[in-house]
Amino acid sequence: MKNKFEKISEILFVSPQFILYLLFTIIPFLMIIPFMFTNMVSVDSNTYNFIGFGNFKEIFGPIYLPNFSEVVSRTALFTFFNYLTVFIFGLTLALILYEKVIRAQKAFTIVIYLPYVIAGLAAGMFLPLLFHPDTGSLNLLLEKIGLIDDPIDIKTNLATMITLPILVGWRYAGYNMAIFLVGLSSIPRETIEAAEIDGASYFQRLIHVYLPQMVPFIMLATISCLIGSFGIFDEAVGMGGLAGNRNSELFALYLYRLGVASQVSKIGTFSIGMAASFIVNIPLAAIAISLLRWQRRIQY
Amino acid sequence: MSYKSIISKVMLMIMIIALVSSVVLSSCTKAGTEEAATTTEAATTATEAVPAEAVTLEVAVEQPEYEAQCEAIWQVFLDDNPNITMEFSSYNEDELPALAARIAGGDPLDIDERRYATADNYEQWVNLLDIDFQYWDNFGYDAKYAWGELRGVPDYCPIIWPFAGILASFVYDAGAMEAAGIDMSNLTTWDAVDAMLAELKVYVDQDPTLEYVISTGNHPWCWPVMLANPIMTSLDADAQDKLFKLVSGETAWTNMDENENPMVLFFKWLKDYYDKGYFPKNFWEVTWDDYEAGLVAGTSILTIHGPWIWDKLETANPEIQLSGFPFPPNSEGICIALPPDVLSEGVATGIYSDPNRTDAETEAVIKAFNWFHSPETVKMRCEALNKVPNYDLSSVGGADLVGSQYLSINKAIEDGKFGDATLDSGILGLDKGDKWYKEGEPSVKLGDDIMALWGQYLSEEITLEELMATYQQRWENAYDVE
Repeated sequence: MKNKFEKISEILFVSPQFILYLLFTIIPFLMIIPFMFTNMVSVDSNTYNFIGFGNFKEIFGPIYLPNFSEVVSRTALFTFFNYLTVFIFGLTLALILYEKVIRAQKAFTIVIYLPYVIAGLAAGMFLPLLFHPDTGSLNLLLEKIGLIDDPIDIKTNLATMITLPILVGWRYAGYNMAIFLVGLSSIPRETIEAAEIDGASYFQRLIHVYLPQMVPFIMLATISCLIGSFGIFDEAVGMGGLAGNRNSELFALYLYRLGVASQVSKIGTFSIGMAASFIVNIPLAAIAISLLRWQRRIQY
Repeated sequence: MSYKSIISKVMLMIMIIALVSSVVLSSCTKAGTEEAATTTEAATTATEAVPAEAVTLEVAVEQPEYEAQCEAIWQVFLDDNPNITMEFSSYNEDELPALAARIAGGDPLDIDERRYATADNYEQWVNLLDIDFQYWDNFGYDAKYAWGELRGVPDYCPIIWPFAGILASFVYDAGAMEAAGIDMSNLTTWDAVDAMLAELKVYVDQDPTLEYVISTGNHPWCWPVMLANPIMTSLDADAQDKLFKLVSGETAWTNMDENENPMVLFFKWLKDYYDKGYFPKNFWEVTWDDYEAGLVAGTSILTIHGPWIWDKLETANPEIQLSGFPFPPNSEGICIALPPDVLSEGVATGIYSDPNRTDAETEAVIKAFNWFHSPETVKMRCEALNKVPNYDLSSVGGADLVGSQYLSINKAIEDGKFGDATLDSGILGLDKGDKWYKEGEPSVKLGDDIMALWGQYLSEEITLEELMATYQQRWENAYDVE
């Protein structure tokens, strides 16, 4: 039973992060809701008027819909591939640590976490720099040794859809590894030992013992991936999303170009950008809530 | 109580003490500084006559590339006005949203040397018609009312600009061209230019150090405005009038007759050059910075660009011999430069409105603004930044311009090096439609997505008819012609 002091301590520990979240995420989100129903061009507009659902009609009209649907589809595809890397990198590394395959556990953890502290923009620029058609070291090397005749174009649709999820997965490997590691650590040893005694192979233990008991953590990683994928910005900018490489223009970048970018780069208005954000993010939130509810039903 | 809960309580106490201490310490430091300042002020007061009130002005310089020159120019003013200090900043295109947010948040700068004023946001600028500005008559355009007339905002002048418009041209490494044996003289017709480019392509194809005939990249303004307009006018002397007919709705964008629709003529020219391999493959996916970096690295000895590339190439390689030639004069012997930035792009110098500005600050800002636009200072700015004046500098002996682009193009045209060619910089046809434009809507003039459309056409994903249909759709959505 927690005493009053412990409860206050817990609240005080959580408060700074919660206050920041409230001040910089929740309150701004609530404040911009009315702007979706106006014709505000930019944050520094002189005047704006109420136009009802006009922005929503424009997004589904012939001018905006082709780009909007292309970007949402592209982001959804990216989310799928990114989700694969959550397990390929995150779960695999967590299992390696959990099963103590590697002896230098702490060093291994630090190395896996290091990409997370690299700025997303720098990580995103890495590949275009290496594969720059004129000055990219890798392209120059591969051409020099005769492996390729023409420089590899890292900005094609296929190349971007392969490299961007791998890049993001690599950056967040440590983050996902930590989630799965906590999940693995929460599995009662007795269930694992019972399975071992019953002769279950490692793969059978993984599928029938580990994963079912890690459902809450798989859900957490899933929701993080889902919401995070639609918020990927820095890496996509680094891959040229704001400078001609449409294939790395994911949803967050599209919102920026729609509502916030500078005069020459803008492709819409501030209020249309807010409306587009609402159209996508509300269903995302609904999906996240549904996943959480489903998780509570199936968890055991 | 376990040792873990004791430790957590101790850590909580330590965190709270650290937080409170930092707040107290920072307050003490600030108070200490204010006390020191007051003491210094009192000492000054005791020994000297009462100085003008000290004010600090925030000034955003023209462009990050010219930050050093701009600050040096302002230092001349500051040396004569010791009560005024200035805090300088610079903003490139990517940083403009942050500046807009700052202004919207109620914390504007004082003077901005080069920023957008549109029909949507002009009220964030002081109406210069309401201040005591001394140099209206010096400007080479109707500085008081031209901006407002173009944008349908009468009796408001938010920004002014004393320079001529941007001139785009072919730019080349003269030394490298000579070494390649390519004759760069008499390139005053498109036939001559085509012959030179064909010869250059043969040379580039056999030189492993060169990648492109005409190096270029993606820019939402440089291509659709800075390059397309002089090229169209070079191809068709009446291009700007015909562009106005497009933007006013008199001609449909889907009219595929190149004699009536200069955009069709331009896109055919662009496709022809792209198919011949003169432009890099998928150049609309190459960032402008990458293109310029590649040019500096020597991937090409020819490009088409505005004034800045001359400075960048010469800074990177002081030994380089740069030269250039304008897009060939049209049938009336005219080459065009863009009109002054204030009229074409809608960017120029202004004073931000600030209701919290004190009387002393207002007086200082107006004084600084006047000084910045005096003949002596405009001459200094022209010479420091290699800009051609659109301003009467006869009272100070004119500007002594030595920039490579000025000598190679502007002065060369005046000196008759390009035959009977003359340089014109009238208002562009599409700009005359700005008063009908609904701010924020996808434009027919410029934008990131414009280049993507061009890319689809050049890579034959869409036809020219489909491209023009898209332009028609965008125009219908974005323009409310009265």
